[in-house]
Amino acid sequence: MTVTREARRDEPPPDETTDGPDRRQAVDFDGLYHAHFRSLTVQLAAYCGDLSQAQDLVQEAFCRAFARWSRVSRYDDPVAWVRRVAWNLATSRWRRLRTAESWLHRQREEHVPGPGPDRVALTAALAQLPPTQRRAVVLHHLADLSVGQIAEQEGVPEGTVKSWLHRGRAALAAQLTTTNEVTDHA
Amino acid sequence: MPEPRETRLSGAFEAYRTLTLDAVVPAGPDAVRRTVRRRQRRRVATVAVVVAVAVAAPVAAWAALGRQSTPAPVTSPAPTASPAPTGSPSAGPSASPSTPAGRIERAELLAATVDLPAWPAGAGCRTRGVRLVERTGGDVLLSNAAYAYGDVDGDGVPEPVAVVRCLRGGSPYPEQVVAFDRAADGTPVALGRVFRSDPRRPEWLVAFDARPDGAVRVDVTDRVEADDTEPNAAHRQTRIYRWRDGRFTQTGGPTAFPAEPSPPAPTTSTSKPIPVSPLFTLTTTPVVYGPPDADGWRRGMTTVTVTNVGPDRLTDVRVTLPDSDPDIHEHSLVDGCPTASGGGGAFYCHPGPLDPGERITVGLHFMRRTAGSDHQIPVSVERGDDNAAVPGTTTRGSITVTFE
Repeated sequence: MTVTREARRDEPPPDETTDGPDRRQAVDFDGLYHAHFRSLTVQLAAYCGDLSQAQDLVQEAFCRAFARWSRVSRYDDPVAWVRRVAWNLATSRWRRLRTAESWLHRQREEHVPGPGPDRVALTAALAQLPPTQRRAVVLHHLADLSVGQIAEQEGVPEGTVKSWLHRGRAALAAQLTTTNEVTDHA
Repeated sequence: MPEPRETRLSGAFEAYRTLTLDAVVPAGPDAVRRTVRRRQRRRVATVAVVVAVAVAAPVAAWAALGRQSTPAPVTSPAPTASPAPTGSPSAGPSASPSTPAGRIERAELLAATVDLPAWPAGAGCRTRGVRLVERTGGDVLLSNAAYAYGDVDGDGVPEPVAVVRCLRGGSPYPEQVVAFDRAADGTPVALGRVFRSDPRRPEWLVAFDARPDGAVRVDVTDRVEADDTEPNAAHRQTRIYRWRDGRFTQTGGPTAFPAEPSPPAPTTSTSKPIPVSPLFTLTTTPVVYGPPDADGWRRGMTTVTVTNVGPDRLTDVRVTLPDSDPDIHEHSLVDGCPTASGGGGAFYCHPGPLDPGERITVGLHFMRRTAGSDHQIPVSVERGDDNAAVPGTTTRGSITVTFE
Protein backbone atom coordinates (compact mmCIF):
# COMPACT_ATOMS: atom_id res chain seq x y z
CA MET A 1 0.00 0.00 0.00
CA THR A 2 2.60 2.53 1.02
CA VAL A 3 4.75 1.81 -1.94
CA THR A 4 6.43 4.89 -3.17
CA ARG A 5 4.66 6.81 -5.81
CA GLU A 6 7.34 8.21 -7.94
CA ALA A 7 7.93 11.86 -7.70
CA ARG A 8 5.42 13.78 -9.68
CA ARG A 9 7.20 16.89 -8.56
CA ASP A 10 5.26 19.70 -7.18
CA GLU A 11 1.91 19.83 -8.80
CA PRO A 12 1.01 23.03 -10.57
CA PRO A 13 -2.51 24.28 -10.23
CA PRO A 14 -4.67 22.72 -12.88
CA ASP A 15 -5.09 25.88 -14.87
CA GLU A 16 -1.38 26.54 -15.19
CA THR A 17 0.91 25.32 -17.86
CA THR A 18 3.03 22.34 -17.02
CA ASP A 19 6.06 22.79 -14.87
CA GLY A 20 8.02 20.09 -16.59
CA PRO A 21 10.84 22.20 -18.00
CA ASP A 22 11.62 23.99 -14.78
CA ARG A 23 15.30 23.34 -15.12
CA ARG A 24 15.77 25.55 -18.11
CA GLN A 25 18.96 27.53 -17.89
CA ALA A 26 17.35 30.48 -16.27
CA VAL A 27 14.14 29.74 -14.51
CA ASP A 28 11.72 32.60 -14.78
CA PHE A 29 10.79 33.82 -11.31
CA ASP A 30 7.30 34.92 -12.21
CA GLY A 31 6.63 31.66 -13.97
CA LEU A 32 7.79 29.69 -11.00
CA TYR A 33 5.74 31.80 -8.64
CA HIS A 34 2.55 31.43 -10.60
CA ALA A 35 3.07 27.73 -11.20
CA HIS A 36 3.65 26.87 -7.57
CA PHE A 37 2.31 29.49 -5.21
CA ARG A 38 -1.09 27.99 -4.91
CA SER A 39 -0.09 24.36 -4.62
CA LEU A 40 2.52 25.19 -1.97
CA THR A 41 -0.04 27.23 -0.08
CA VAL A 42 -2.45 24.32 -0.08
CA GLN A 43 0.19 22.09 1.50
CA LEU A 44 1.09 24.60 4.17
CA ALA A 45 -2.56 25.32 4.86
CA ALA A 46 -3.15 21.64 5.49
CA TYR A 47 -0.24 21.60 7.89
CA CYS A 48 -1.00 24.84 9.74
CA GLY A 49 -4.74 24.62 9.54
CA ASP A 50 -4.76 28.25 8.52
CA LEU A 51 -4.95 29.46 4.97
CA SER A 52 -3.94 33.07 5.46
CA GLN A 53 -0.92 32.05 7.45
CA ALA A 54 0.02 29.54 4.77
CA GLN A 55 -0.16 32.30 2.17
CA ASP A 56 2.14 34.47 4.25
CA LEU A 57 4.62 31.67 4.73
CA VAL A 58 4.78 30.85 1.03
CA GLN A 59 5.02 34.51 0.09
CA GLU A 60 7.89 34.89 2.54
CA ALA A 61 9.63 31.83 1.09
CA PHE A 62 9.36 33.33 -2.39
CA CYS A 63 10.77 36.60 -1.06
CA ARG A 64 13.77 34.74 0.25
CA ALA A 65 14.17 32.93 -3.04
CA PHE A 66 13.97 36.18 -4.96
CA ALA A 67 16.58 37.82 -2.75
CA ARG A 68 19.05 35.12 -3.85
CA TRP A 69 17.52 34.37 -7.17
CA SER A 70 20.73 34.24 -9.15
CA ARG A 71 21.76 31.26 -7.06
CA VAL A 72 18.43 29.59 -6.42
CA SER A 73 17.42 29.75 -10.09
CA ARG A 74 20.39 27.61 -11.00
CA TYR A 75 19.45 24.81 -8.63
CA ASP A 76 18.21 21.60 -10.18
CA ASP A 77 14.90 22.05 -8.49
CA PRO A 78 14.29 25.62 -7.28
CA VAL A 79 10.80 24.70 -6.15
CA ALA A 80 12.26 22.23 -3.68
CA TRP A 81 14.24 25.09 -2.16
CA VAL A 82 11.18 27.30 -1.86
CA ARG A 83 9.15 24.46 -0.43
CA ARG A 84 11.76 23.57 2.14
CA VAL A 85 12.09 27.15 3.28
CA ALA A 86 8.33 27.54 3.53
CA TRP A 87 8.04 24.36 5.58
CA ASN A 88 10.89 25.32 7.80
CA LEU A 89 9.25 28.67 8.41
CA ALA A 90 6.06 26.87 9.26
CA THR A 91 7.61 24.40 11.63
CA SER A 92 10.00 26.63 13.47
CA ARG A 93 8.24 29.92 13.66
CA TRP A 94 4.67 29.46 13.03
CA ARG A 95 3.65 29.74 16.62
CA ARG A 96 5.35 33.07 17.00
CA LEU A 97 3.94 34.37 13.76
CA ARG A 98 0.59 33.10 14.70
CA THR A 99 0.30 35.25 17.79
CA ALA A 100 1.38 38.31 15.92
CA GLU A 101 -1.07 37.72 13.18
CA SER A 102 -4.09 36.59 15.02
CA TRP A 103 -5.89 39.57 13.62
CA LEU A 104 -5.48 37.99 10.22
CA HIS A 105 -7.57 35.08 11.40
CA ARG A 106 -10.56 37.27 11.88
CA GLN A 107 -10.02 38.92 8.54
CA ARG A 108 -9.74 35.63 6.79
CA GLU A 109 -12.93 34.37 8.29
CA GLU A 110 -14.74 37.26 6.71
CA HIS A 111 -13.14 37.04 3.31
CA VAL A 112 -12.65 33.41 2.43
CA PRO A 113 -15.58 31.62 0.90
CA GLY A 114 -17.11 28.86 2.95
CA PRO A 115 -14.49 26.19 3.40
CA GLY A 116 -16.86 23.30 2.90
CA PRO A 117 -17.28 20.26 5.09
CA ASP A 118 -14.53 18.27 3.35
CA ARG A 119 -11.92 20.83 4.18
CA VAL A 120 -13.14 21.27 7.70
CA ALA A 121 -13.14 17.54 8.33
CA LEU A 122 -9.66 16.97 6.96
CA THR A 123 -8.26 20.02 8.74
CA ALA A 124 -9.70 18.82 12.03
CA ALA A 125 -8.39 15.30 11.51
CA LEU A 126 -4.92 16.55 10.56
CA ALA A 127 -4.81 18.74 13.64
CA GLN A 128 -5.01 15.61 15.77
CA LEU A 129 -1.78 14.20 14.34
CA PRO A 130 1.63 14.83 15.86
CA PRO A 131 3.51 17.39 13.73
CA THR A 132 5.94 14.88 12.24
CA GLN A 133 3.18 12.60 11.05
CA ARG A 134 1.16 15.54 9.79
CA ARG A 135 4.11 16.81 7.79
CA ALA A 136 4.76 13.41 6.25
CA VAL A 137 1.15 12.82 5.33
CA VAL A 138 0.68 16.28 3.83
CA LEU A 139 3.93 16.13 1.89
CA HIS A 140 2.99 12.75 0.55
CA HIS A 141 -0.61 13.44 -0.37
CA LEU A 142 -0.57 17.11 -1.28
CA ALA A 143 3.00 17.73 -2.39
CA ASP A 144 3.17 14.28 -4.00
CA LEU A 145 6.63 13.71 -2.63
CA SER A 146 8.06 10.23 -2.48
CA VAL A 147 9.21 8.71 0.80
CA GLY A 148 12.79 9.40 -0.25
CA GLN A 149 12.08 13.04 -0.99
CA ILE A 150 10.32 13.53 2.32
CA ALA A 151 13.24 11.89 4.10
CA GLU A 152 15.58 14.30 2.38
CA GLN A 153 13.52 17.37 3.19
CA GLU A 154 13.09 16.36 6.83
CA GLY A 155 16.62 15.08 7.27
CA VAL A 156 15.56 11.70 8.67
CA PRO A 157 15.94 8.09 7.46
CA GLU A 158 13.37 6.73 5.04
CA GLY A 159 12.29 4.18 7.63
CA THR A 160 11.27 7.00 9.92
CA VAL A 161 9.20 8.61 7.18
CA LYS A 162 7.51 5.30 6.45
CA SER A 163 6.67 4.95 10.08
CA TRP A 164 5.26 8.48 10.21
CA LEU A 165 3.17 7.83 7.13
CA HIS A 166 1.98 4.49 8.40
CA ARG A 167 0.83 5.86 11.73
CA GLY A 168 -0.41 9.14 10.36
CA ARG A 169 -2.60 7.61 7.74
CA ALA A 170 -4.04 5.04 10.07
CA ALA A 171 -4.94 7.75 12.58
CA LEU A 172 -6.31 9.99 9.85
CA ALA A 173 -8.48 7.27 8.39
CA ALA A 174 -9.85 6.51 11.83
CA GLN A 175 -10.52 10.19 12.47
CA LEU A 176 -12.30 10.69 9.19
CA THR A 177 -14.44 7.64 9.73
CA THR A 178 -15.48 8.85 13.15
CA THR A 179 -16.21 12.31 11.83
CA ASN A 180 -18.37 10.94 9.09
CA GLU A 181 -20.29 8.71 11.40
CA VAL A 182 -20.99 11.64 13.63
CA THR A 183 -22.08 13.72 10.69
CA ASP A 184 -24.24 10.96 9.28
CA HIS A 185 -26.14 10.50 12.49
CA ALA A 186 -26.47 14.16 13.18
CA MET B 1 -7.38 -4.53 3.71
CA PRO B 2 -5.70 -1.24 3.00
CA GLU B 3 -7.29 -0.49 -0.35
CA PRO B 4 -10.54 1.24 0.63
CA ARG B 5 -8.78 3.27 3.28
CA GLU B 6 -6.16 4.35 0.78
CA THR B 7 -8.76 5.40 -1.76
CA ARG B 8 -10.74 7.22 0.86
CA LEU B 9 -7.80 9.17 2.10
CA SER B 10 -6.69 10.10 -1.37
CA GLY B 11 -10.21 11.26 -2.09
CA ALA B 12 -10.26 13.39 1.04
CA PHE B 13 -6.99 15.03 0.07
CA GLU B 14 -8.11 15.60 -3.51
CA ALA B 15 -11.25 17.31 -2.28
CA TYR B 16 -9.17 19.38 0.09
CA ARG B 17 -6.77 20.35 -2.66
CA THR B 18 -9.49 21.39 -5.06
CA LEU B 19 -11.45 23.40 -2.54
CA THR B 20 -8.41 25.10 -1.07
CA LEU B 21 -6.81 25.98 -4.39
CA ASP B 22 -9.84 28.10 -5.16
CA ALA B 23 -9.48 29.99 -1.93
CA VAL B 24 -5.80 30.90 -2.35
CA VAL B 25 -5.21 34.49 -3.34
CA PRO B 26 -1.55 34.98 -4.30
CA ALA B 27 -0.15 38.39 -3.48
CA GLY B 28 1.83 38.07 -6.68
CA PRO B 29 5.47 38.23 -7.74
CA ASP B 30 5.41 42.02 -7.84
CA ALA B 31 4.68 42.05 -4.14
CA VAL B 32 7.71 39.82 -3.69
CA ARG B 33 9.85 42.35 -5.55
CA ARG B 34 8.56 45.24 -3.49
CA THR B 35 9.24 43.44 -0.21
CA VAL B 36 12.73 42.41 -1.21
CA ARG B 37 13.60 45.89 -2.49
CA ARG B 38 12.36 47.44 0.72
CA ARG B 39 14.51 45.11 2.76
CA GLN B 40 17.53 45.67 0.58
CA ARG B 41 17.22 49.43 0.97
CA ARG B 42 17.06 49.01 4.70
CA ARG B 43 20.20 46.96 4.72
CA VAL B 44 22.23 48.74 2.12
CA ALA B 45 24.27 50.59 4.70
CA THR B 46 25.64 47.40 6.15
CA VAL B 47 26.13 45.37 3.04
CA ALA B 48 29.86 45.84 2.91
CA VAL B 49 30.19 44.56 6.44
CA VAL B 50 27.93 41.63 5.69
CA VAL B 51 30.11 40.47 2.85
CA ALA B 52 33.30 40.72 4.85
CA VAL B 53 31.84 38.84 7.78
CA ALA B 54 30.22 36.17 5.69
CA VAL B 55 33.58 35.18 4.30
CA ALA B 56 35.61 35.58 7.41
CA ALA B 57 33.34 34.67 10.29
CA PRO B 58 33.57 30.88 10.17
CA VAL B 59 37.34 31.04 10.16
CA ALA B 60 37.55 33.66 12.82
CA ALA B 61 35.01 32.04 15.06
CA TRP B 62 36.72 28.72 14.88
CA ALA B 63 39.79 30.24 16.43
CA ALA B 64 40.22 29.32 20.04
CA LEU B 65 37.97 31.34 22.19
CA GLY B 66 40.55 32.65 24.57
CA ARG B 67 39.61 32.45 28.19
CA GLN B 68 40.37 35.68 29.89
CA SER B 69 40.89 35.98 33.56
CA THR B 70 39.72 39.56 33.53
CA PRO B 71 36.53 40.90 32.07
CA ALA B 72 38.41 42.42 29.18
CA PRO B 73 36.81 41.78 25.84
CA VAL B 74 37.99 38.95 23.69
CA THR B 75 41.20 40.16 22.18
CA SER B 76 41.77 37.25 19.92
CA PRO B 77 44.43 38.06 17.38
CA ALA B 78 42.24 36.73 14.60
CA PRO B 79 42.49 39.55 12.11
CA THR B 80 38.89 39.35 11.03
CA ALA B 81 37.42 39.42 14.47
CA SER B 82 36.16 42.92 14.19
CA PRO B 83 32.96 43.09 12.22
CA ALA B 84 32.73 46.51 13.73
CA PRO B 85 29.34 48.04 13.88
CA THR B 86 29.78 50.37 11.00
CA GLY B 87 26.71 51.61 9.29
CA SER B 88 23.53 52.46 11.01
CA PRO B 89 22.54 50.22 13.85
CA SER B 90 19.32 49.73 11.92
CA ALA B 91 17.64 49.26 15.22
CA GLY B 92 14.48 47.21 15.26
CA PRO B 93 13.35 47.20 11.67
CA SER B 94 9.79 48.30 11.49
CA ALA B 95 8.80 45.45 9.25
CA SER B 96 5.20 44.46 9.24
CA PRO B 97 4.54 41.45 11.43
CA SER B 98 4.31 39.03 8.57
CA THR B 99 7.61 39.96 7.00
CA PRO B 100 10.57 39.06 9.18
CA ALA B 101 13.46 40.96 7.67
CA GLY B 102 16.85 39.60 6.71
CA ARG B 103 19.91 38.58 8.62
CA ILE B 104 20.46 40.07 12.07
CA GLU B 105 23.61 42.14 12.02
CA ARG B 106 25.86 42.31 15.01
CA ALA B 107 25.19 45.98 15.55
CA GLU B 108 21.48 45.29 15.69
CA LEU B 109 22.01 42.59 18.27
CA LEU B 110 24.08 44.94 20.40
CA ALA B 111 21.39 47.58 20.17
CA ALA B 112 18.63 45.23 21.21
CA THR B 113 17.41 44.05 24.58
CA VAL B 114 17.02 40.29 24.68
CA ASP B 115 15.90 37.55 27.00
CA LEU B 116 18.58 34.90 27.32
CA PRO B 117 18.31 31.22 28.20
CA ALA B 118 18.97 30.54 31.86
CA TRP B 119 22.45 30.83 33.24
CA PRO B 120 23.80 28.10 35.50
CA ALA B 121 22.87 28.55 39.13
CA GLY B 122 24.84 31.24 40.86
CA ALA B 123 26.05 32.96 37.70
CA GLY B 124 24.83 36.33 38.87
CA CYS B 125 23.68 37.59 35.48
CA ARG B 126 20.14 38.37 34.51
CA THR B 127 18.32 36.52 31.80
CA ARG B 128 15.48 38.94 31.08
CA GLY B 129 15.88 42.23 29.29
CA VAL B 130 19.61 41.89 28.83
CA ARG B 131 21.56 44.44 26.88
CA LEU B 132 24.55 42.65 25.35
CA VAL B 133 27.79 44.59 25.36
CA GLU B 134 30.94 44.35 23.35
CA ARG B 135 33.43 45.56 25.89
CA THR B 136 32.29 47.18 29.07
CA GLY B 137 29.17 48.76 30.39
CA GLY B 138 27.14 45.64 30.99
CA ASP B 139 27.11 42.23 32.59
CA VAL B 140 26.84 40.08 29.52
CA LEU B 141 29.42 40.14 26.79
CA LEU B 142 28.61 39.23 23.21
CA SER B 143 31.78 37.57 22.06
CA ASN B 144 33.53 39.12 19.15
CA ALA B 145 35.59 36.20 17.96
CA ALA B 146 33.11 33.50 18.83
CA TYR B 147 30.43 34.84 16.60
CA ALA B 148 29.24 33.17 13.41
CA TYR B 149 26.29 32.75 11.09
CA GLY B 150 24.46 29.60 10.06
CA ASP B 151 20.95 28.92 8.85
CA VAL B 152 20.10 26.90 11.92
CA ASP B 153 16.34 26.77 11.39
CA GLY B 154 16.56 26.28 7.65
CA ASP B 155 14.47 29.33 6.84
CA GLY B 156 16.84 30.59 4.18
CA VAL B 157 18.24 33.39 6.35
CA PRO B 158 21.39 32.73 8.41
CA GLU B 159 21.05 33.28 12.13
CA PRO B 160 23.82 34.64 14.33
CA VAL B 161 25.20 32.08 16.76
CA ALA B 162 27.45 33.48 19.43
CA VAL B 163 29.06 32.96 22.76
CA VAL B 164 27.60 35.16 25.46
CA ARG B 165 29.58 35.40 28.65
CA CYS B 166 28.43 36.45 32.09
CA LEU B 167 31.04 38.84 33.42
CA ARG B 168 29.86 38.75 36.99
CA GLY B 169 31.56 36.45 39.39
CA GLY B 170 34.93 35.04 38.57
CA SER B 171 36.85 33.06 36.04
CA PRO B 172 36.05 30.78 34.39
CA TYR B 173 33.07 32.91 33.46
CA PRO B 174 29.75 31.21 32.78
CA GLU B 175 29.25 30.97 29.04
CA GLN B 176 26.48 30.01 26.68
CA VAL B 177 26.35 29.45 22.97
CA VAL B 178 23.12 31.04 21.85
CA ALA B 179 21.44 31.37 18.46
CA PHE B 180 19.40 34.49 17.74
CA ASP B 181 16.51 35.01 15.38
CA ARG B 182 13.87 37.57 14.63
CA ALA B 183 10.57 37.59 16.44
CA ALA B 184 7.43 38.15 14.46
CA ASP B 185 7.84 41.90 14.79
CA GLY B 186 11.40 41.75 13.48
CA THR B 187 13.22 42.36 16.75
CA PRO B 188 16.08 40.01 17.67
CA VAL B 189 15.31 37.30 20.20
CA ALA B 190 17.26 34.36 21.51
CA LEU B 191 16.18 31.35 19.48
CA GLY B 192 17.75 28.76 21.72
CA ARG B 193 20.79 27.60 23.56
CA VAL B 194 23.27 25.26 21.97
CA PHE B 195 25.48 24.78 25.00
CA ARG B 196 26.27 26.29 28.33
CA SER B 197 29.02 25.81 30.83
CA ASP B 198 28.00 24.59 34.22
CA PRO B 199 30.17 24.40 37.30
CA ARG B 200 28.42 21.23 38.40
CA ARG B 201 29.46 19.57 35.20
CA PRO B 202 33.03 20.38 34.37
CA GLU B 203 32.78 21.14 30.68
CA TRP B 204 34.02 24.33 29.18
CA LEU B 205 33.96 25.81 25.73
CA VAL B 206 37.09 25.70 23.68
CA ALA B 207 35.84 26.67 20.28
CA PHE B 208 32.75 26.78 18.15
CA ASP B 209 31.56 27.32 14.63
CA ALA B 210 28.21 27.69 12.93
CA ARG B 211 28.19 26.11 9.52
CA PRO B 212 26.15 27.51 6.66
CA ASP B 213 23.97 24.39 6.66
CA GLY B 214 22.87 25.20 10.20
CA ALA B 215 24.95 22.69 12.15
CA VAL B 216 26.68 24.19 15.15
CA ARG B 217 29.98 22.69 16.15
CA VAL B 218 31.10 23.06 19.72
CA ASP B 219 34.43 21.97 21.17
CA VAL B 220 34.51 21.44 24.89
CA THR B 221 37.10 20.46 27.43
CA ASP B 222 36.76 18.98 30.87
CA ARG B 223 39.63 20.88 32.36
CA VAL B 224 40.70 24.49 32.33
CA GLU B 225 44.43 24.85 32.33
CA ALA B 226 45.77 27.49 34.60
CA ASP B 227 48.13 28.78 31.95
CA ASP B 228 45.39 29.14 29.35
CA THR B 229 46.90 26.56 27.03
CA GLU B 230 44.58 24.62 24.80
CA PRO B 231 43.55 21.22 26.10
CA ASN B 232 45.02 18.16 24.45
CA ALA B 233 42.93 15.64 22.55
CA ALA B 234 42.15 13.56 25.60
CA HIS B 235 40.45 16.54 27.15
CA ARG B 236 38.80 17.96 24.11
CA GLN B 237 35.65 16.79 22.35
CA THR B 238 33.83 18.02 19.30
CA ARG B 239 30.06 17.95 19.38
CA ILE B 240 27.59 18.82 16.66
CA TYR B 241 24.21 20.32 17.40
CA ARG B 242 21.23 20.99 15.19
CA TRP B 243 17.99 22.84 15.69
CA ARG B 244 15.22 20.25 15.78
CA ASP B 245 11.66 20.62 16.93
CA GLY B 246 12.20 23.81 18.79
CA ARG B 247 15.47 23.09 20.53
CA PHE B 248 19.08 22.32 19.85
CA THR B 249 19.80 18.63 19.88
CA GLN B 250 23.18 17.03 19.74
CA THR B 251 23.51 15.08 16.52
CA GLY B 252 27.17 14.17 16.52
CA GLY B 253 30.18 13.59 18.70
CA PRO B 254 30.46 12.20 22.21
CA THR B 255 27.96 13.43 24.77
CA ALA B 256 30.18 13.38 27.81
CA PHE B 257 33.70 12.88 28.95
CA PRO B 258 34.51 9.50 30.40
CA ALA B 259 33.79 9.45 34.10
CA GLU B 260 36.89 10.04 36.18
CA PRO B 261 39.21 11.04 33.35
CA SER B 262 42.63 9.70 34.26
CA PRO B 263 42.29 10.21 37.99
CA PRO B 264 45.28 11.14 40.06
CA ALA B 265 46.07 7.60 41.14
CA PRO B 266 43.37 5.51 42.76
CA THR B 267 43.62 6.85 46.23
CA THR B 268 41.39 5.08 48.65
CA SER B 269 37.93 6.40 48.19
CA THR B 270 38.41 9.69 49.93
CA SER B 271 36.47 11.82 47.48
CA LYS B 272 33.71 9.78 45.96
CA PRO B 273 31.69 12.68 44.66
CA ILE B 274 28.53 10.78 43.97
CA PRO B 275 26.09 8.92 46.18
CA VAL B 276 26.57 5.18 46.01
CA SER B 277 23.10 3.88 46.69
CA PRO B 278 21.08 3.66 43.48
CA LEU B 279 18.45 6.28 42.75
CA PHE B 280 16.35 4.13 40.47
CA THR B 281 15.11 0.70 39.67
CA LEU B 282 14.42 -0.06 36.04
CA THR B 283 12.34 -2.86 34.53
CA THR B 284 11.41 -3.53 30.93
CA THR B 285 9.00 -5.69 28.98
CA PRO B 286 10.30 -7.63 25.97
CA VAL B 287 9.99 -6.35 22.43
CA VAL B 288 8.24 -9.01 20.38
CA TYR B 289 8.50 -8.27 16.69
CA GLY B 290 5.52 -9.29 14.64
CA PRO B 291 5.59 -10.40 11.02
CA PRO B 292 6.50 -7.69 8.49
CA ASP B 293 3.89 -4.99 7.91
CA ALA B 294 2.75 -4.13 4.42
CA ASP B 295 5.69 -1.76 4.13
CA GLY B 296 8.17 -4.51 4.93
CA TRP B 297 9.01 -3.41 8.48
CA ARG B 298 8.54 -5.52 11.59
CA ARG B 299 7.35 -3.58 14.59
CA GLY B 300 7.32 -4.11 18.30
CA MET B 301 7.35 -2.13 21.51
CA THR B 302 8.56 -2.20 25.07
CA THR B 303 7.56 -0.45 28.23
CA VAL B 304 10.30 0.78 30.49
CA THR B 305 9.29 1.33 34.09
CA VAL B 306 11.41 3.54 36.30
CA THR B 307 10.95 3.90 40.05
CA ASN B 308 12.57 6.55 42.20
CA VAL B 309 13.97 4.54 45.10
CA GLY B 310 16.04 7.40 46.46
CA PRO B 311 15.04 9.82 49.19
CA ASP B 312 14.65 12.95 47.03
CA ARG B 313 12.30 14.32 44.50
CA LEU B 314 14.08 14.21 41.13
CA THR B 315 13.07 17.05 38.88
CA ASP B 316 14.90 15.82 35.81
CA VAL B 317 14.95 12.13 35.03
CA ARG B 318 16.47 10.93 31.79
CA VAL B 319 15.96 7.57 30.12
CA THR B 320 18.73 6.88 27.61
CA LEU B 321 18.36 4.48 24.75
CA PRO B 322 21.56 4.07 22.73
CA ASP B 323 21.12 3.59 18.98
CA SER B 324 20.99 -0.14 18.40
CA ASP B 325 20.92 -0.81 14.70
CA PRO B 326 19.26 -2.83 13.16
CA ASP B 327 16.62 -2.27 15.82
CA ILE B 328 15.44 1.20 14.93
CA HIS B 329 13.71 3.17 17.61
CA GLU B 330 10.80 5.13 16.24
CA HIS B 331 11.35 8.56 17.70
CA SER B 332 7.94 9.73 16.65
CA LEU B 333 6.21 7.09 18.72
CA VAL B 334 7.18 7.70 22.27
CA ASP B 335 4.66 7.41 25.05
CA GLY B 336 5.22 9.16 28.34
CA CYS B 337 8.00 11.53 27.28
CA PRO B 338 6.89 15.15 27.26
CA THR B 339 10.44 16.05 26.35
CA ALA B 340 12.67 13.90 24.23
CA SER B 341 15.62 14.33 21.98
CA GLY B 342 17.74 12.21 19.73
CA GLY B 343 21.18 12.39 18.28
CA GLY B 344 24.76 11.73 19.14
CA GLY B 345 24.14 8.01 19.09
CA ALA B 346 21.26 7.84 21.52
CA PHE B 347 17.69 8.80 22.21
CA TYR B 348 16.85 10.63 25.43
CA CYS B 349 13.47 10.74 27.07
CA HIS B 350 12.67 13.06 29.95
CA PRO B 351 9.50 11.68 31.48
CA GLY B 352 9.19 14.47 34.02
CA PRO B 353 9.77 14.83 37.75
CA LEU B 354 9.62 11.80 39.98
CA ASP B 355 8.83 11.88 43.69
CA PRO B 356 10.38 9.35 46.08
CA GLY B 357 8.68 6.01 45.54
CA GLU B 358 6.95 7.23 42.41
CA ARG B 359 7.00 5.09 39.30
CA ILE B 360 6.71 6.14 35.69
CA THR B 361 6.33 4.06 32.55
CA VAL B 362 7.60 4.96 29.11
CA GLY B 363 6.58 3.25 25.88
CA LEU B 364 9.24 2.84 23.22
CA HIS B 365 8.50 1.50 19.75
CA PHE B 366 10.94 -0.29 17.51
CA MET B 367 11.03 -1.24 13.88
CA ARG B 368 13.33 -3.60 12.10
CA ARG B 369 13.75 -4.77 8.55
CA THR B 370 14.96 -8.33 9.01
CA ALA B 371 14.29 -11.11 11.47
CA GLY B 372 17.14 -12.21 13.73
CA SER B 373 17.92 -14.13 16.84
CA ASP B 374 16.84 -13.07 20.31
CA HIS B 375 19.05 -10.44 21.83
CA GLN B 376 19.20 -7.55 24.28
CA ILE B 377 19.14 -3.78 23.82
CA PRO B 378 20.72 -1.68 26.56
CA VAL B 379 18.74 1.07 28.25
CA SER B 380 19.53 3.21 31.24
CA VAL B 381 18.04 5.86 33.46
CA GLU B 382 19.87 8.61 35.22
CA ARG B 383 19.36 11.89 36.87
CA GLY B 384 19.38 14.57 34.20
CA ASP B 385 20.74 18.02 34.30
CA ASP B 386 19.89 20.16 31.33
CA ASN B 387 20.66 17.72 28.53
CA ALA B 388 23.34 15.89 30.48
CA ALA B 389 23.43 13.08 32.97
CA VAL B 390 24.56 13.63 36.50
CA PRO B 391 27.55 11.29 36.76
CA GLY B 392 27.15 8.34 39.07
CA THR B 393 23.36 8.32 39.05
CA THR B 394 22.91 5.79 36.27
CA THR B 395 20.94 2.58 36.65
CA ARG B 396 21.35 0.21 33.73
CA GLY B 397 19.00 -2.36 32.33
CA SER B 398 18.26 -4.13 29.10
CA ILE B 399 15.37 -4.87 26.83
CA THR B 400 14.89 -8.42 25.57
CA VAL B 401 14.10 -8.66 21.86
CA THR B 402 12.35 -11.69 20.41
CA PHE B 403 10.55 -12.56 17.20
CA GLU B 404 7.10 -14.02 16.76
